[in-house]
Amino acid sequence: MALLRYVLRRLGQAALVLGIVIVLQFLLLHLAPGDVADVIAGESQASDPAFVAQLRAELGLDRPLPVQLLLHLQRVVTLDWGQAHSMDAPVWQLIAERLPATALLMLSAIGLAVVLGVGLGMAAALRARRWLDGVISVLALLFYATPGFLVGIVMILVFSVQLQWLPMAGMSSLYDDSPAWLRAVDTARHLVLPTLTLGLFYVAIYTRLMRAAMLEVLPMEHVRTARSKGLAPWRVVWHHAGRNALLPIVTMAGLQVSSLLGGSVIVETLFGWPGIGRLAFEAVFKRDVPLVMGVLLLSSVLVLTVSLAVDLLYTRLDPRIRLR
Amino acid sequence: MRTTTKLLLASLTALHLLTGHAQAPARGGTLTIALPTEPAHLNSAIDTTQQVKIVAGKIYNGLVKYDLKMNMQPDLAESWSVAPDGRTITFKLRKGVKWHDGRDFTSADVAFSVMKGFGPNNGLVRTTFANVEAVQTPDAHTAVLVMRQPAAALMAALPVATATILPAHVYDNTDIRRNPANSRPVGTGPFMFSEWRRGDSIVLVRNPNYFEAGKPLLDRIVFRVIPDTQARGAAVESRAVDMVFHSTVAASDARRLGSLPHLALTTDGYHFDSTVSFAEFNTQHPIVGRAEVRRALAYAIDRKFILDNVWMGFGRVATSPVHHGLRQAHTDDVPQYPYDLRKAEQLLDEAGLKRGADGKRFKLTIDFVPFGDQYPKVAQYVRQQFTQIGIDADVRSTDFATWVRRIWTGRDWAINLSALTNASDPSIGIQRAYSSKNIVPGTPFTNGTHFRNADLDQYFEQASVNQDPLVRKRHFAAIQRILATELPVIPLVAIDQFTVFNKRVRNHATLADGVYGGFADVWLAPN
Amino acid sequence: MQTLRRRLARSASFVAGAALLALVAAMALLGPLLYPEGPWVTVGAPMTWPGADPLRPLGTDALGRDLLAGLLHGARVSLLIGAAATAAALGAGLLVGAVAGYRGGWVDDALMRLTDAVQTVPPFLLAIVVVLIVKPSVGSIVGAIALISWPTVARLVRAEFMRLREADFVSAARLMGMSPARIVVTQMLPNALPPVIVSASIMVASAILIESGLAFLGLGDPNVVSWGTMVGLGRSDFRAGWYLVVVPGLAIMLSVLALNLLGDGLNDALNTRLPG
Repeated sequence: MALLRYVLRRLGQAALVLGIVIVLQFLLLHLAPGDVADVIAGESQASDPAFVAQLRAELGLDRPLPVQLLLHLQRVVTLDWGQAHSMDAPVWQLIAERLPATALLMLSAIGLAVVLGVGLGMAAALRARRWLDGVISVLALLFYATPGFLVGIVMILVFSVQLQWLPMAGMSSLYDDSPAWLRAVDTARHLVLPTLTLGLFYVAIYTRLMRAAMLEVLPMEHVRTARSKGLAPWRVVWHHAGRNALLPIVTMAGLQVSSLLGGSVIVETLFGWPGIGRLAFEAVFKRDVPLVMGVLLLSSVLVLTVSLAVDLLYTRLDPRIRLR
Repeated sequence: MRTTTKLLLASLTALHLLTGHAQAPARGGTLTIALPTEPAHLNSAIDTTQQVKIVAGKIYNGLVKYDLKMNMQPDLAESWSVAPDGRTITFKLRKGVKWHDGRDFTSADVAFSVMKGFGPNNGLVRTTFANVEAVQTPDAHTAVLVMRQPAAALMAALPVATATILPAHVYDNTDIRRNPANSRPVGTGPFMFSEWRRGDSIVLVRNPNYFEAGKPLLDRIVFRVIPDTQARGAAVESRAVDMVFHSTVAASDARRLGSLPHLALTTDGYHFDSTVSFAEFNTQHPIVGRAEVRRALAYAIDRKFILDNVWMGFGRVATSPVHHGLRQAHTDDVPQYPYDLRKAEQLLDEAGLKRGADGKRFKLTIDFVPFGDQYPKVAQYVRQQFTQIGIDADVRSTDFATWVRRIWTGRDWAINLSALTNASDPSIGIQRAYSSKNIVPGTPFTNGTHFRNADLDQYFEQASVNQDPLVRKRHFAAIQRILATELPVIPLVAIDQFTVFNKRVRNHATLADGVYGGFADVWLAPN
Repeated sequence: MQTLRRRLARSASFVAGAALLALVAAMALLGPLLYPEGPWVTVGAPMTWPGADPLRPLGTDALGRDLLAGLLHGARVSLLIGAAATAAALGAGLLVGAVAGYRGGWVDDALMRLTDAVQTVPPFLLAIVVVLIVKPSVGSIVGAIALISWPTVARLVRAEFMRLREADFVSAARLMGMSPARIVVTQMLPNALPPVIVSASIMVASAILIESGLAFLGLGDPNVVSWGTMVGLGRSDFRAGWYLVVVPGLAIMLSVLALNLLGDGLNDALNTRLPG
């Protein structure tokens, strides 16, 4: 019961927050002069006034701002995402088509970060203050400090241009009726560099986090007891130390969704990855308000959902924490 | 040698010379082209952006095509004749042409397209086709354009990019902008729409019933969306794509790419996209609104430096907004402004704008079109040059919508760095920018400088209706002289657009519209 | 203070970070000295490689401008943007966090909902929207970065204040009749500062990273030479000269490294109660 009340209260708060988000973003997008009709007309070097006026009327851009905002809110409540102004498709379709690509990229990056981060962090903690720890810590620091685009560009130079091992743009190179497994391999090949570029930053974070958490847990009573009982070292490490150290990792992973979505803009632009990060950027550039609002709304919903899930998971992992 | 042997030898030699090293065109294969931006849809009748044209040009046809020598070739029209008074053009249409959905192509499609398709909707040629009063269709294979006045530029506007023939049975009585066929096009062209993976690629496949027998030669064309300039260069280098068009790899990279053994570079095939970059002025600005100030500033810009270092030599220094490729109109016989910083300073002094105690004369903001990699660099260069002659110059970077609003609706700008395509004729491309009849606040690419000159307007009017090419050339020469004297615009570089392509791609630049054409003759040489 | 200084001196991270940061600061100071005419002047043949011309040790860009001049002048700009954005974020975050943490109740709820609203939007995306809409300039970039950074500070400060609210010395101050404002500023704030100071260093680093990311996407201030704008301008020619991107990129990496090490060191030295 307490759980249900908690979830409902959180959902209520989330709805309020989303409402604020929508209004603020709408106002933000209308701060500057110019609109998507200018973009469409401008891009085609179309110089006909009737054309531009007609376009504006069709898109409802000639109505006063409060009216437009109300219409938008009305659409959100009825779950109608609207039609994109700059592309010939409904917003939900454009987002749905590109969401899997970003999801794939983000999950791969998080997966890489967690696996590598946990592994490296553990290794560093177990060999604390020896040369392995030093090497890992320095590497972590370097990956944390290097701007994403630099990592990406160097990867492209080395692996795509120089060695020609991996493709450097897009999500696939097969356009015929290849079998599914071949397509999967092809997509995987395209996924490597973007994942590394996006994920190495988070590998650094998790490595340091895991190392710190492990260092806190390792000297603790129950671990030393387990060791003295003669249990296999790796079992000690994992069951008794590692699992407790995972708590901060889980929390971090949840909080990273927001940052990953932002980071994906650069990676997707650099690698031509057809995801929603790039979609958002292009939409903002074109002043396509429905599309921008759609993507921002989706991201916000995603962040709120993951945040709720992480909090619930938190209580599972650590029974000492109770829901407020 | 005996006569017969000589004869045999001669004919064998002739035969050998004829066939020479020419390979026989091969059938089949997939051509991959890099797209810098994903198109909003695929209907070039309502959208003249490059990304729409390049795809649509292979799905649809126009009435005629132009070869590299600017001779008209049949496309959907087999033959045509212009009445002596220039007010009627009769087109005899090809028979047996089918739309991709199996229906027959008839003159009704032409009538619809001219009167309700591209005619009223194509921003570039709307004024040209506004002249057409009606399209008569005496039979299913004849279309007669009846015009109020002769339109000299109309014939040049008939290829597919500007006069896309749409299927009336799909578009008539519908909202042309919302018709789903815009994203699943039905055309008459050599390639049919197959698939669109949003954000990733567009796939076209061969039209087995194309009206040119045995064509197209390619099985498939894939357009891959690659928004990053570097990624495009790397893609063509690593053979992930076969072709990068319209100068969409960095100019600094283009020559290196073209010199690789498997790649080539060409500037052919962009005749209809002749573009000239320029610095234009707001003629209502208190300072640069004065012609003498503009002339002074012209001396401060080294166009050769810009050509060499921003466009990497792809083009020529421009003396006129009319591209040198438009031979029917271009002239170099205009006042020149060679690079001379001292002269610039002297003229500014004479204009009464002397340096103050802090060494500065006046403040100026530089705007530029937020499209492409070149204009930020030109802006920085111009800023530096102006700083040297005592102007407190600032660069303003905005997004597309704000820029469009500012230049054509608001008046708070002074100098704008941009470019304009001449299209296939100055009456289409240039008139809209400098005729005082085309000052239309709110609409981009009209007369944004608000330049007004009665003589100029007159010459433009006459050139647009006069059929005689020599008379038109004289009028255009006069126009260019006025523009170079009053200088509402300082032309910078007449750009040579280029294509970087894999050498296995043959025949892609055989027509005047180059990469924007149908590609029915394009084939891939086996490695 | 004595022990603090000693603790800082013993922390390898702090020393390393401070040393690197001093190097960056030196770069910023040397700029106007070595290149008084600024980084905008065309000084040589365009696109020369580092080392090709001894007068231009780091080469030139597409417009013939000296990369080393750009690097040195850019150091000042990048550091200033980072510092200004962080200062603004700290200011806003401290204000919101202190008020929310001290007052509690509906004030706390309202402020936290506002904080949530700002934090819910992916930060980098929000920064892009703000900069693009308001037109790219140093001001809008600083504002955008401050906008996306203040929520974390606010939460941190709020947590500290909520903890400190129940502390003995605060109750004592209240009993003495001190006004809430005085309590907050003179009693609670100094105790809440340690985690804020640590995050300040990290925030400057992330501000520099965000600015470079924005510039990479073409949203840098065109009237300013910063490391970010050097990357943004050099990006399209990077095949002809990858040094155009790598040189400023390495400078960014160096500064971010320095600031993170500094933050680590401060964390080690100041840490007694910090979570995690």
